Amino acid sequence: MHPPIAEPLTRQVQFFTGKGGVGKSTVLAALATAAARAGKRPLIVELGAHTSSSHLFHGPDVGYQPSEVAPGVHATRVLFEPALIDYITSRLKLRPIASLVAKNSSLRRLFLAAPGVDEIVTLHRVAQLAADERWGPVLVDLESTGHALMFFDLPSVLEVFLKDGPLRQVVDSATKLLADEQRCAIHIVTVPEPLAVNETIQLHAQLRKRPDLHLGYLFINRVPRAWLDDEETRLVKSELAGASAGEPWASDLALAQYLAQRRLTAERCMQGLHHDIDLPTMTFEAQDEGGASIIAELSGAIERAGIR
Amino acid sequence: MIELSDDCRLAFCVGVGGVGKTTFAAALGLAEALRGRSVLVLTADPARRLADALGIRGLSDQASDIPLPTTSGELHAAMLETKASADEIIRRAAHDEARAQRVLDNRIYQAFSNTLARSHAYAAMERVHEAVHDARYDLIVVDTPPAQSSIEILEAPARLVSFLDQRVVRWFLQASDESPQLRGGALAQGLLRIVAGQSLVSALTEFLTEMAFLREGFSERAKEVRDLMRSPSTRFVLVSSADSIGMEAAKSVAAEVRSRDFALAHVVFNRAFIPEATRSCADPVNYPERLAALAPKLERMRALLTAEEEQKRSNIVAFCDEHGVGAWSLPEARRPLGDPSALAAWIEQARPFSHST
Repeated sequence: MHPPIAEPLTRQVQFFTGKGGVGKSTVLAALATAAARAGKRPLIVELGAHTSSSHLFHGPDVGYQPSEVAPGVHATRVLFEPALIDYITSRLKLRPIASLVAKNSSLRRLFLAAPGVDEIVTLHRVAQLAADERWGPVLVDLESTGHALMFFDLPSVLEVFLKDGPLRQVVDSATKLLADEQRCAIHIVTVPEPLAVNETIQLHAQLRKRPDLHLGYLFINRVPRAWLDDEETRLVKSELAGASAGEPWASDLALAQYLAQRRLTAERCMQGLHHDIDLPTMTFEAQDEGGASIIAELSGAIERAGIR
Repeated sequence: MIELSDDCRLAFCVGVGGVGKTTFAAALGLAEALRGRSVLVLTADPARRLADALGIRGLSDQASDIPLPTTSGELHAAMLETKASADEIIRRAAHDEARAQRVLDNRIYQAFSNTLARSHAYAAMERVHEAVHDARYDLIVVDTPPAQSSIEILEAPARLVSFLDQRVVRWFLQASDESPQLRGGALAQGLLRIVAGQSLVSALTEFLTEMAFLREGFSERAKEVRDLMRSPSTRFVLVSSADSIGMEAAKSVAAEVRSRDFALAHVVFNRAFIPEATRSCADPVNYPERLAALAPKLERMRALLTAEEEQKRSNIVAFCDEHGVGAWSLPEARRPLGDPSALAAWIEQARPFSHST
């Protein structure tokens, strides 16, 4: 008998993907905060040049070595050079020699320019962190949708010409990790806006074509608040078209109508998402800009959802 | 009105993802076309947003004509397909079908030309170079892919030149020779074999040998692209959101653009205001009796949104002062955009900011 499938948010490694600007990092930060409060040791892994978590947690710059950004929450950034040295060390076993190799100017140029090196050392680093028992869950913030697909495709791309050797091991362990339903989940983050929804539905369809990938949750972030009920919406509309036109309060009504329209668009978007994406879904209401408590609010919502 | 100066031939829209960069690139291209120029908007984004913004069904590597309400200018749009562009580069440089075919059949070439971010960047810059030299266009507007790869694209030419440096490749390829100055190469190859494995090193050597004929042309072309980025007729436009997270990203992208001596012509903050929320909170409003029940809600709404806008406004002012640049703010584009007149109406709402220093 197979063990029951682990609840996606309790798995050791969680990937988050979605269109840029939908608030992936915020959702990740909230999940990490909720996990830390539940007594776990969450690690946020950022790929790329920019760090969002140091800003989100109002902490110091996040570097390659994991650092604590909030009570119980650690974050790390996969930077090319140290990740390369880590990879080479894992092969040569001697860190000083690995540093020499990584810093050799000719090899360095080769590594910097050759396509794939960046992705391979990133994959290696992610697998290394995933295997590290100090951390759990490991939450990986993937870049925008196109690049996430590239990331998941990488093992099969490399497969083409790696019959054996050390890179083969990197690819094999990454493939094994991605395919492990008990240890790994891929979550999609989106916002209820038309462009984002189209892209999310396409992304989901592409991920679904890969039976080896295991999808977790769909997070719908920044759902605009429902300010008006149906009756109020009708009143605003008729006032704007009639008695209130040109009055000093007409701009307030116009604003109300705009916000009602935005909410309606969001509702339609969410219907579209529910129709096309059969994943368990969590929604987060839009938070006020400048509110210091975005993460606290979202992590509270996660705790109320009762996922441990 | 956001305009590029008449001498501008190439404009890069840069910024992190999700800020409306593609929509803005489309609108900027359109505004310039409506001024009578012949414009190509080129997207390097693997996601297909440019077609959505322009309200057309799809885009390909071949430029499509976008119908305009006027007859003076022209608007064209194309989406970069990495594989197609990369193959084209090889064919052109090879001058010989059989030689080109050997590269196209190479497994390393195949594995990477269509998959990796870095290949996208190389191919994108190649396409930009080609478009700039195409007499049909007065102006090329480039929508760069999001986040990190936006900068990646800017680095692609420099990296390519460095990689294609004859000495490095020869040093690597001829590592088995006996000459003493090449022994370092043998050592490097040996280390690389331990790190990357025999099969990859063999494949790489084969690839570099196969590519040897391309090096000369590539290197020259990459230098031309690098010069093009710093040409006086090239401008960079930074697109960002105006909330606090967006400001952090804008600062870091602006710093990266400047550190490369690229000309930052405009900074555009998108979704910075709602045209309906322009009234000041300070004005008391006497609502009529029939709206009394709704009034508290209307007041809360207005207070919240004007506060949000004020926060964004002060973020922008601070950015302008800190960087000594002017900026523009834009409201959120209303959907569906989908046609040139809606796009044009959107960008016309831009509000200027100037810096105090």
